[in-house]
Amino acid sequence: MQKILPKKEFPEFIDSLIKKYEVVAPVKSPNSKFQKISSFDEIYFDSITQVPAKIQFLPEDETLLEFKNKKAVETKGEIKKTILFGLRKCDLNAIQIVDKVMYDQQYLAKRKNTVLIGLFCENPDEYCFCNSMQLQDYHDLFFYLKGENYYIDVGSKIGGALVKNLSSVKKEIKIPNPANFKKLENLEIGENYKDKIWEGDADKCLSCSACTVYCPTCNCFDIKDDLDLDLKNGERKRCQASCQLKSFSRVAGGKSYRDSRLSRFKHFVYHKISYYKKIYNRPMCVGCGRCLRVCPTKIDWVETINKISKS
Amino acid sequence: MSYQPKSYKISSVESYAKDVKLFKIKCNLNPSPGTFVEVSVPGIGECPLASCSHSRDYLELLTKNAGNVTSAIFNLRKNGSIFVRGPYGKGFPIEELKSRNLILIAGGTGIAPITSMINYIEQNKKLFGKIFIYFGFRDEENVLLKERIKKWEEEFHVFVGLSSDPDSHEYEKGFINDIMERHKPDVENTVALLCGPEIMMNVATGELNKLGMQNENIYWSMERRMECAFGSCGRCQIQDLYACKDGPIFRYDVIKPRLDNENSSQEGR
Amino acid sequence: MKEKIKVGFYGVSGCSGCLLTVLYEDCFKELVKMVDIKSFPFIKEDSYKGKFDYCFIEGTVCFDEDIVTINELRKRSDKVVALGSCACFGCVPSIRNFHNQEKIMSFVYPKYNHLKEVDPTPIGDHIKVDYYLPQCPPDKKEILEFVKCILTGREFKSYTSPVCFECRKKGNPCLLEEGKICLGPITNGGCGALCPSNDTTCYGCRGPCKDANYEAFFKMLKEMGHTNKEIKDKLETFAGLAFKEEEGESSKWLER
Repeated sequence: MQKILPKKEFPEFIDSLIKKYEVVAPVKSPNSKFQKISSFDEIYFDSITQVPAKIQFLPEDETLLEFKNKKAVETKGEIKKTILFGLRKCDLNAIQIVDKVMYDQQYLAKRKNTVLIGLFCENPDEYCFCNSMQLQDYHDLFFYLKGENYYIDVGSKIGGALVKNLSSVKKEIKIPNPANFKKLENLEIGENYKDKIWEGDADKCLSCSACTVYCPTCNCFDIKDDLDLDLKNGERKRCQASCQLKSFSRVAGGKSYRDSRLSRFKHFVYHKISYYKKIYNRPMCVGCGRCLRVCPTKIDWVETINKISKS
Repeated sequence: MSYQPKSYKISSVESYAKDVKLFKIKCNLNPSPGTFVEVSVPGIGECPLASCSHSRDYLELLTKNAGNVTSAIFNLRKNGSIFVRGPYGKGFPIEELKSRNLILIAGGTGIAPITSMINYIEQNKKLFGKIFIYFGFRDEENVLLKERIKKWEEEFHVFVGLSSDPDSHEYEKGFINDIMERHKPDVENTVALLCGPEIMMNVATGELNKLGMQNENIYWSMERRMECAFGSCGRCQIQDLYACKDGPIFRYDVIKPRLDNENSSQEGR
Repeated sequence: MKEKIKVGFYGVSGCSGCLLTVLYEDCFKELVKMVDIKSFPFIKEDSYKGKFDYCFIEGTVCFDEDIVTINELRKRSDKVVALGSCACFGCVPSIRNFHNQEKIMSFVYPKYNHLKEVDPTPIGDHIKVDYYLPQCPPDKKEILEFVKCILTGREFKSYTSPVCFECRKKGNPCLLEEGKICLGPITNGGCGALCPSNDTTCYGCRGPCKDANYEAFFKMLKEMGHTNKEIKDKLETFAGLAFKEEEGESSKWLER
């Protein structure tokens, strides 16, 4: 089903949502990221956000359990009905991908209470290659501006309820894919794990973890305990982790199973392109290009894969 | 899935080597052989430990004082409380093992999951053929579960080797493959289950291959840092497999190419 | 009740900023609840002559008297903790190592040439140090975490991931991308990316990250247009000696 909303009524529509729900949307501050907004004017429309939307569900750290009086109590926390607005197609697919690997109550509760509203990506840049990544439709509502009107694709009942007062489109239009300048030419790299070409990229890698922190589908985490100053009570926390750090694959006794920079770097690329696909039949990467955009030494693993497939 | 652990009472603690203790916990978690639980001490942290027994009424944990959490567990005493959640993972493929001969190989604290399998065999003797047990330890002081090993000797073919203790009167000297070579197991209609340091499993597997065993009849128990234990956190990933939910027991022909890949890029850089 | 562990705080040459951090912030209030502070400059007469379980020492060894002081403290302490970047790496005073020493001495102390100076060095060069709590000034949370560890028998683990990890998690814009020399990728974090979060580049005060890729990092900075001198100056500011030691093959960077 598609609904239609005149462009000039769009700010009013968003502001009406803000009155009823907590609305989180892209804001420029100073890096662009998703933040709670209090008016339409705060929304940043110019590009995809630098910081991915995953922090809504997987914050830097989050309490899982509290220890009090020798008892462990799982935290539920107050979860507000939230509207996540302004997700580009890559952002939406990233949420879909992470949804498949997160099973715990804390995550599920937040997801259940979040409405996903997409927005057509008008301005992909030279790092975007989403069209190579088999993206799907995964939204409650999706906004596409054509001429003087927003066409709104309704993806779920919850989404439908938000736009029930708008008029339906008689003849539905097809929402196109965003324009892309970059292309990933090959998703079948399983056989090329031992290719020497990866060494070039790994040599440039600073292991700074920026790629994984900004990747919208990197969900890996540590579980850590914190003790209060009374040395009795405390909490167990989930903390964002990164496979690019040596400590990530370390076991008791000190051995690290992915000790070399090369093996850590390849783990990132292969997880995105190959490993996830073996289980869920689609790549984990959504082609948002954030890892390429934020890499201090400008490692372009997409080009590396393209080179492999050409040779 | 939940991170909620339950508090249990430690009903006994036995010390083995300098840095190994066996904790017995009364509970009804009933882990199947080869699976693991997440054990924690509040405020310190959680760590994955293989179940060392097979019983409906209790759980046994063989703990080596190796890290922050294990050393905190190590300091717990009888009647103290310990937090546990689980069991998790795929254990030994019991159905595949029925009516076959078994070779059980373990080194150091790696005997924990193997011990739970031996418990299972003891409880279901008719299901299995001949049982060969090969255990490797550093020296006599580090031999774990001595009394049980003695008891098993009455029923199974048990061979214990010490890698660096020439003076031992009770046990043979030699690395695991030496012991296996000296006392060859039956390999017809046989499955081998291994647990221990990767280097030990490597040589033992080499020996099994030499004796004519195929990799699809060999199972490895993998040591990784399982943090969430249900395939979310990514800490225990071995390429596309998760030690916590696809393992920790893997068929060797499945895990080998993945380990080869990861090891291939370990050197140099 | 169990006796509280005995702790001492001392400083050798330096700005005393580390001690002030312990004092000023509400850190001190918590500390006195947990441990028995037997000695602390500024607030306590140095009358205690007994042993310490833990002795926190700040400052760089710059004069011969400093060596005497820390040796005496070592003898009286079960464990010695290097507090702050000076004690851990030499910090700002150690910049002198990278310049003409005589020139500096006659410039700074034209009259006081009776001072017997030694090369400014971290205390670990002279006595055995058991724990390091770097940062300039040190982090209150880390000091308390350290004390929590010693009181509960947990092993204290220093943070080993680069500053970038924490900085990126905070969603800060990358200062390297803005063309500045930020030592984030080669410096141990644990500070919560304090400087980059306040739009100031990282000076490496928590010391070199074990996993640093110096070759790639320097290459990147040079491609950005920075000169060797600029990079050296930055490296030498807070943990120059430690970076020089860690870099290994590429230590030519620090030769003048």
